[in-house]
Amino acid sequence: MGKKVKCLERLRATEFVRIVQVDMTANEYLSEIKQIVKENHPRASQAVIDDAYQLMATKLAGIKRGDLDYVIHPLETALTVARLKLDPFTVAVALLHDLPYRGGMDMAELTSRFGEQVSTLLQTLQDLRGIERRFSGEKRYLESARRMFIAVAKDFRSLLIKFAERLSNMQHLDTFPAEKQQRMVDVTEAIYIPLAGMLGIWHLRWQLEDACFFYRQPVIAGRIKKKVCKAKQRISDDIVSDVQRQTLQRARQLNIPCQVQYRLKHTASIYRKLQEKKVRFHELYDIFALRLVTDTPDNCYRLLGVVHSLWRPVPQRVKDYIAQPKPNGYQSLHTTVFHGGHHAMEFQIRTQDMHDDATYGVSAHWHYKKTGNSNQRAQEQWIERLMAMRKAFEQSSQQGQLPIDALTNTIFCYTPKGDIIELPERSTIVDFAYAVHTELGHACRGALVNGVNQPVQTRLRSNDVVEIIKGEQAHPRKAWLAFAQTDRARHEIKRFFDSPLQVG
Amino acid sequence: MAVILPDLKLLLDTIHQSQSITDDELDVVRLAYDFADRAHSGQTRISGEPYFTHPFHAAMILAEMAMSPDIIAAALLHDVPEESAVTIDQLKNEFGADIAFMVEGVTKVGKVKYRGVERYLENLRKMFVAMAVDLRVIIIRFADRLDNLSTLQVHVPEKAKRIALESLEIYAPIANRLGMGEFKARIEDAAFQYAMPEEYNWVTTVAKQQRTSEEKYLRRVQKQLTAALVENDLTKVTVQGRVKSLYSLYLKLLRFDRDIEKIHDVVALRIVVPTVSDCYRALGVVHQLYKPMAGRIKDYIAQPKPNGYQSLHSTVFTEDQHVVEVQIRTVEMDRQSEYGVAAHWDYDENKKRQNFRAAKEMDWVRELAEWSKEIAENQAQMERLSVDVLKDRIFVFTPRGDVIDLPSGSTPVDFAYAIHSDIGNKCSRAYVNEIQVSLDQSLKNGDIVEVLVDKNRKGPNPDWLQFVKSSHARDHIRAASRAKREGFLRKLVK
Repeated sequence: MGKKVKCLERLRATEFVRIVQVDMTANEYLSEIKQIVKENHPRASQAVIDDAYQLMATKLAGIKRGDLDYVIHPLETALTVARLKLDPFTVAVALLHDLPYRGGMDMAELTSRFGEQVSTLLQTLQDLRGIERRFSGEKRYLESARRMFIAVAKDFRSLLIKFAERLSNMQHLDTFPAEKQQRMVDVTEAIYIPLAGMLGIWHLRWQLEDACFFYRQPVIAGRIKKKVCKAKQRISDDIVSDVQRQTLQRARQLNIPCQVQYRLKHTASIYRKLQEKKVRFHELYDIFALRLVTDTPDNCYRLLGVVHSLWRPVPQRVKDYIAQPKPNGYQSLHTTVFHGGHHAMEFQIRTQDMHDDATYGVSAHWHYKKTGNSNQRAQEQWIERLMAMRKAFEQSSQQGQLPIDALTNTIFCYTPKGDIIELPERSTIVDFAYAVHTELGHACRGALVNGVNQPVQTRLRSNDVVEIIKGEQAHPRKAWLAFAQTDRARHEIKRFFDSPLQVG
Repeated sequence: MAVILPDLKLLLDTIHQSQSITDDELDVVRLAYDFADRAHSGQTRISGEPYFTHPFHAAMILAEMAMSPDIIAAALLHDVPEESAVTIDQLKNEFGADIAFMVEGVTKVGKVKYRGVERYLENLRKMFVAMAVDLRVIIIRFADRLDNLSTLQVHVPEKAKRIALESLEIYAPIANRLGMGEFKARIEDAAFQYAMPEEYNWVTTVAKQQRTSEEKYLRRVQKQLTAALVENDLTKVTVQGRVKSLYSLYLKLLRFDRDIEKIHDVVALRIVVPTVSDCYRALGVVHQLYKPMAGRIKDYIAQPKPNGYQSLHSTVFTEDQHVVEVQIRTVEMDRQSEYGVAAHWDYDENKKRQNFRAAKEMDWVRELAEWSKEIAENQAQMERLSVDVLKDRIFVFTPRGDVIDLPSGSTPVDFAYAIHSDIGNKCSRAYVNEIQVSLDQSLKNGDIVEVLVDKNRKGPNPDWLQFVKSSHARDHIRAASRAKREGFLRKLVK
């Protein structure tokens, strides 16, 4: 092993920075884009895409960024937008997004050719770029995030194009001047990654995380990527087809509709897991996972039975995120099974709707809306979430505080009734009590955590069931401020003591 | 409590109720009934009832559990050779070799010469040997013991206590190991009040306050669940609410500071459905209705417990802060959980005696009998061995998913020896659930354990003796260090 590592270390970092090789011509990109748009919007005309491409190609012809033709960038952006299931119009805007900036085109000219909506979207993109440019240092990134949210609420599509554009840039980080690279990674980590997570666009978030990881830890990232490639070769050939065949066969016998896909875990998250768990690469269960996509939740559970009848489940790995969705709305049944040798294998079982949600987040709902597909309720829920987040950002900035809560890692605890309380890491019983209700916070004297009596400053862990023990008087203690983690708890404790009714 | 006197019709009716069987097949029961009734005529028990009441009750218990007519007949006859002039040979002529063999086995197990610790060990040894020869003997013995427990009040308290303790320490754990949940629970609950009268009274009082409200709650939840299942086209289901048995509640209370408020699973819900696929669908329905607690879904269908138990378990939050465990299983699994190895006998009729021996996956039964024969003279070893078997067991996994069954508190070293003595002797590092741990770390149920060997290692570390839990590991470590010492001495002599 020693020899191999040395060999890898000799390789220069830049060789790993480009994580996506460009191996398609501009025309191939265009036809791929149109193909995807056609699948998602079979009846829509694609003329606007052709138009936009023609204009873009002429205006940007001959311009280079690093060793790449500049036209590749808008094409990649448009491809990502198309994959997010957006409509031909939005894809066209993605193709045009650099024209006012790079192509030296007048907004008025674009408006006359493509209509009012295009210029509105492009203007929003400009504004977002402005926000990003002003971003500097730790403290203000949250302010930018807040403003971006306001922009999003105006039109989700602009944000999705912005994300797609960022992804393309990050995947070709080496084409930018060295001094710019650092800043681009900082901004991506501070703004784009957390936002993509909040919006539930995991697909984008993972790719952005990987791009940053390749910049920060080129050697390790390269090593992991190599291993993943190897695992992929080994896995995709024999095992996947075998697993696929067996699963489909059994599902067919039981009349359960089912598609089998597989996904590889992204590099940054493999690294995180290797670090956290102190495990060796081959012991990671979920480097690749199989996805079973079916029609109804009922059939998800039956497929769980199918999988468990074929391979033995690893204990305590069955997770029901259908009945108890993750706070970001993610739904799926997870299980890990033993599959001979040293390979355990993760299965994610979900309906098509859940799958779209997980992959495309907000854009999945956008797609439904445009195509008049159902799922009105899910969409409403999502908008509610967005509004709640906006409000949180606004409130906290009014109080002159940083809304740390929203961006740090979260843990999930339960009330005895089974309601999930989402808290930042390191939260205590006091934070939990205030998160449930202010009065409960004031009266809190401790809690039964998983049935065991614990004092107020006890830190909670994910999955704890917390039953607050109330004192006779609703009276917080100033000392709590020393350990309370959430803004809400701290705010309420302070307010209690600042209140004019409070003497001493 | 009025004692039910022997009544052939009652016995036959009970058999018919619990299983579908033709009347002709019950002839052997009729004959055995008459034969035993005559053999015991004129004899009475200490309580004054006719002696035959006892074998009759044992037979009734087995009839309720849907055991085969042969076993019921043997139960009726089990005290005949001991208490009357009839010999085993006569029984053989009347009822055939198979039934006579069972009766002889039960008689042998019952004969215990010694007192005190030796009596305890002798008892164990006999049970182990009987188990390996024919599990039906143990079943009859369980029924026999269960009826004895229900008439303990006729004995002086000391004797009653001795029998009750023996039941808790030997019979119930063996029943548990064989997967006979029904016998285990009934033996425990019957023995509890005589073995520990004060504790029994305390638990009864504590439980009484809890029970009325729990039962009301159970009925409500049962109704909700049934409705939800039917609505999802799962029509052929039964939903049962179960209150924890007194003795297992007692054991749990000991672990939770004797505070019943801290125990969430005083009640459990059981859903019984026709097929395995339905089990998973029912799980979905339950989770739609009540939120599941994360990390508490256990699939013992795909991965049965070492004693054969199969079921899906999930802990859910229902109304009013209640946390309840739901068990979902098929009809067949349900029977398996109550009667263990005995559950399937009624499916294959007319099979020879060999088939009543422990199944392959219960190799430990045979091994146990072998060991207990070999080491009969070594009391200390026998004690350790019995602790191994009767103590709570855990099951852990190899990275390939094979199940290894160990006494609770076992360490990676025990695990290594359970796989192979070579691996035990050379083990150097261990990973539990992907995390490296020290070799003396206690394993938990469901852990995935990987042991790395050091090929150059000379042998086990004698210090391991301080933490290993299985006698298997202990014996090997001792033997290896003895061999090492001898080798060393031999070198010196040369």
